[in-house]
Amino acid sequence: MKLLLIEDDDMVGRATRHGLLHAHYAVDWVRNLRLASQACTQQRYDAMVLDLGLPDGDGLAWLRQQRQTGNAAPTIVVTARDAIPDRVNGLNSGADDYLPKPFDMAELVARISAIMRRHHGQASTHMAIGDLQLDLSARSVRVAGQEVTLSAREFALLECLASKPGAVWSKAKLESSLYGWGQEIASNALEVHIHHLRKKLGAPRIVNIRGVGFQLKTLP
Amino acid sequence: MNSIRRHLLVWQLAALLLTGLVSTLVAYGVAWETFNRQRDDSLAQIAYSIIRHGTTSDTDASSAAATEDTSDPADQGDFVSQLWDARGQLLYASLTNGGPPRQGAGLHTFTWHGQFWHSFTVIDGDLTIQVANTHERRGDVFRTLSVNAWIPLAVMIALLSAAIWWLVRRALAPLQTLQQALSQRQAADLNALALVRPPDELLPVLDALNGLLVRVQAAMQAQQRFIADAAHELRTPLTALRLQAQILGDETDPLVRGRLVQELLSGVARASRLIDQLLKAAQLDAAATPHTAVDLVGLCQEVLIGLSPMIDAKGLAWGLDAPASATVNGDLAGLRMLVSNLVDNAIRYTPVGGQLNVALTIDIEHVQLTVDDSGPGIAPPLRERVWDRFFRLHPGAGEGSGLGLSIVRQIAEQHRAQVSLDTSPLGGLRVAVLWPLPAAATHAH
Repeated sequence: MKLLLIEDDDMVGRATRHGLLHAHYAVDWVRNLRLASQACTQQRYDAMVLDLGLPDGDGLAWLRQQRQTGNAAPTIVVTARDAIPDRVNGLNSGADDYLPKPFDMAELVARISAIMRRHHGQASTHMAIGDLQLDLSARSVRVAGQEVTLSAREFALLECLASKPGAVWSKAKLESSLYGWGQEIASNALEVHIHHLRKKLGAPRIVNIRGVGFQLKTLP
Repeated sequence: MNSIRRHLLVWQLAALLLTGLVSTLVAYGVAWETFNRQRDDSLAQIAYSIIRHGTTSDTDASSAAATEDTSDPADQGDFVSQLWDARGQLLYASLTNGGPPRQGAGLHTFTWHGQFWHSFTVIDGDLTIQVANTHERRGDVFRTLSVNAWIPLAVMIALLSAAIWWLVRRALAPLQTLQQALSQRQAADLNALALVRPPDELLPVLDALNGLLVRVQAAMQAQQRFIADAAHELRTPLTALRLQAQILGDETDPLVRGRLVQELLSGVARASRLIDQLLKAAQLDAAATPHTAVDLVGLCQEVLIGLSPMIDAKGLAWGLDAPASATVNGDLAGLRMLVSNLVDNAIRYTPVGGQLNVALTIDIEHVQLTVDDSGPGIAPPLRERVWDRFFRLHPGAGEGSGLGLSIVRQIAEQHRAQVSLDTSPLGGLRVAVLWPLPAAATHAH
């Protein structure tokens, strides 16, 4: 899961990015709206964290514009402005949630998870794909009732593949979903993770469609 | 005791009573004089009347004296009448004891039997006729008459006093209304005062009061805005602290923890600096501080020495060019903060290995402080905006609070000094603060 963090304050940005990485998200961090627009044209993000006190423009106006041009990424707006009109304005501009400063890291992570769930139409923190049961908050998986231990990367990979059942993911797409800027990716890192995931989940669940990408098969 | 009402009442009533008293006494005196003259005149009239009506013959005189029956030596009548013959024999007296002795012709006053008497004596041929009455009797009659005069006067004075008291009360009523209106006011109510049809004398007072309320309201609003701005500005540094502490708690790798602790300490330093600046800015908004003689040379040395660790950490080449002393009148703490903020800014914005120079110069008219650095400077278009509170050139980066320059300007204004920004010969920013003399006192080279 790849997030876009739009925050101009150095210390808050560093700490937030650290916390989000710790929560197993991949993070791209930009400090102004110009760079944010650029990033959004280069890839689709699974969620965005938008701080409103940006130096080069009004964050909400930018968000409205993004929504108009088709960027539907679930977005949490974070800001020092806490009055009711500000919240209403934020939500009406296309934000999915509103978090006033100062906030708790844990709350930010939980809310990001919630808006992403909602975006994918999932009511609960559990996902069931055939005989696979994913617990998104505990980040664990049961295969036919049996608990299987996955590493953080492996779970993230599985979550990605499971997010749109039946969808095929290219290698590039998977990599960009798992790794943010500033994180070195070995050229075969993804294959290694896929390999481990296949081994742990058993059965030919993850299919390699030659020339296209990877697909998670639903098994009863 | 200083009371308008008391003043008015006391003096008006005193004047009224005094005038009343004086005019009463004068009137009394005049009336008594007139009364006495009139009485004397009556005595004469009665005497002449007796003559005109004729007197009884000599032979009847003694029997007339004997038949007169008066039990009261003072007589029921107002006067005593007496008759003597040519030989001085009392022929008739209306008093049983014969009455007062015979006087010469005309008006007389004399004492007889312990009383004052007034008499009028006429000699008509052989007969001497005398009519007299006591002073005391006159007085009694006069007093009875005069009561009819001074009772109405007293009533009138009483009524006038009451009227005065009531009118003074009414006239001063607007003051009481004003007092009630003010005492019922809540502390937060700073709206203009309005009285219904205020008296002309109160209008200037009301205007001045309302002017004061407007100023207080503006000051309070400025303060509230400042507090709101300050609270807002504090949120981001506090968010950083909170997050930094939380991620530190979640981290197990000791190397990473070490780095996170450093981050947290920086965050604390930033928040502390912001709070210091906020407090100073709030103090500047509040009361004026007393001014003493301040030696700027000593102050600059003190500030530079205090900041020298920071300067050394950045490897800056630095120095102070100053005369032996340069004194201005001012607030020591404020001036220290001014110099400190300027030097601090210069250090922060100058890259490692750069230059920093502080200079003090004096001429006949001014004392000037100049701080030069070799940093990036401030582009001319931004030079007006940097004075605004909470304005930062690079928001989000570094530990700046955005308050430093606004505080410098406020302190300079309080000292009637001018601050200006320019490009420095060192390549960065030059800040110059100019104090006019006679604010500057002694100097020596």
